[in-house]
Amino acid sequence: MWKKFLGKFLIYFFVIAFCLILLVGIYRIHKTKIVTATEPISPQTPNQGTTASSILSNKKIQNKRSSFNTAKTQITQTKQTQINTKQTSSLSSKKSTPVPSTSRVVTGPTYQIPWGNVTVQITVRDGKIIAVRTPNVPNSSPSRYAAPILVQQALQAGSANIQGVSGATYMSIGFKKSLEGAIAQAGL
Amino acid sequence: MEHVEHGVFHSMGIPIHTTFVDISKDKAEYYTQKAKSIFDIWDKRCSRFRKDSELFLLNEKRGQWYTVSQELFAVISDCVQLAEETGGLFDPSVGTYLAATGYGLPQKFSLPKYVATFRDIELDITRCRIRCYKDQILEPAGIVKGRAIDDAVHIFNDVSGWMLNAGGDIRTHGNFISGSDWHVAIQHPDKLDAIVAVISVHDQSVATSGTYQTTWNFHHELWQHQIDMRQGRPTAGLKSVSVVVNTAEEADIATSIALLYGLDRGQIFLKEKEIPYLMIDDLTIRHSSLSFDALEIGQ
Repeated sequence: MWKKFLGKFLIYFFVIAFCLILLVGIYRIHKTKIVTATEPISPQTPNQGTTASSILSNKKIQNKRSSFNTAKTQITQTKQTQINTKQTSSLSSKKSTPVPSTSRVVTGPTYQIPWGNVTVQITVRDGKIIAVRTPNVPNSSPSRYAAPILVQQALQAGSANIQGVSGATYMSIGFKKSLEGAIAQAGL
Repeated sequence: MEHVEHGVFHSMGIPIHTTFVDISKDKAEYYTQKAKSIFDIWDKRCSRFRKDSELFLLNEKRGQWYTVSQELFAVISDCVQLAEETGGLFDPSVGTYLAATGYGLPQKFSLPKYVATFRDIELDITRCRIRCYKDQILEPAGIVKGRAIDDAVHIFNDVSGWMLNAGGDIRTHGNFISGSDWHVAIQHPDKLDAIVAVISVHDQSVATSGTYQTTWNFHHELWQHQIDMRQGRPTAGLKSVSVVVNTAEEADIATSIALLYGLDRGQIFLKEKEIPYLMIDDLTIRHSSLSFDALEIGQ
């Protein structure tokens, strides 16, 4: 009888142990899942031209980069607080926000692409991402969120010192209500 | 004291705004009307949205030799050259995808099994004629508007300061009032009544290519007119690219190619040509060159 009891005990013991191990493993995977969801690609020879082979390798790199960007978006969504739209009636009142000393820079892995290396740096302050930078791209300023600036009223009043607005091709329909339309109307 | 005269007309389906410094109202109206006539000629020549255009007739005769004007021949020829330089990324054959998804003429056009590329375009320079592949539709987008702007502003010779804005592509000359440079704002891709930057330019052109303005639905999917010919799909990754170059045509081409290349390769392409740029990606993050930042005011 005790053999029967022992058998049942062993079965229950190993089933429970297996479940516990599985749960611990899932918890640890979830805990350690961070931005770098993809492995850095193997080094490739930099290619200056636009041959078919470079276009194909570029396609593979872009697929990996898109998953990197998706993970980067997750960090942006979890750590970034709501960014408020800046509203001003005059460009002269636009002020820049200095980066305080409590900010820290987080550097991601370096990815090799045909025309060099790309490393992403994120500057975080108080749990908010305030700047995203790719320092390997030469002669470029730190990337930042493109905050919209409202100038419609100033343009309609003729008080904004802007003579033209450049944008993706806009059609004649809706011109009167557009920014460029406001500039023309103020002048006509 | 200097005064400013404005003119507005519509051609090629877009609004065109002229600004002149220190000329009479009559002269401003004269130059504006002359510019309109030049734009109308280019529209009649290269529009894929009217059935009486030279381009439409060329596309109707696809598969056959068709004699065209020198101007249209030059446009297609230059497009083919750009396609060769970009490995087919920029390709005037993009009209095939655009027409097949319902954007522009011809109507009721189905995507063929084989989508011809720039390599299938035959150019006979001696007889000024073109033969494209059967079921190949040509669309020289990315070059025509800039070329029309440069053609039109030639008539503003004796005006000391002027600006011409054709649907978002701008060319300037001389100074605005009081000797100041021209201030050009860059439109925000998400909020069309907002801007992201203002730059100061002098004798330069500012052009923007974007994926946010021209969109349409095809089979329950949103398409925009910047097509990656290698994949036959709209591009992704960038919302807009703005550049500063001397002529409007150069600016038009630079933005088109940079946007097709995407964020990384596009930046390399523009840096190699030393063109100041501002890119806004799909996350609404701005990426700009130091040379563009140096032009910004109000930062």
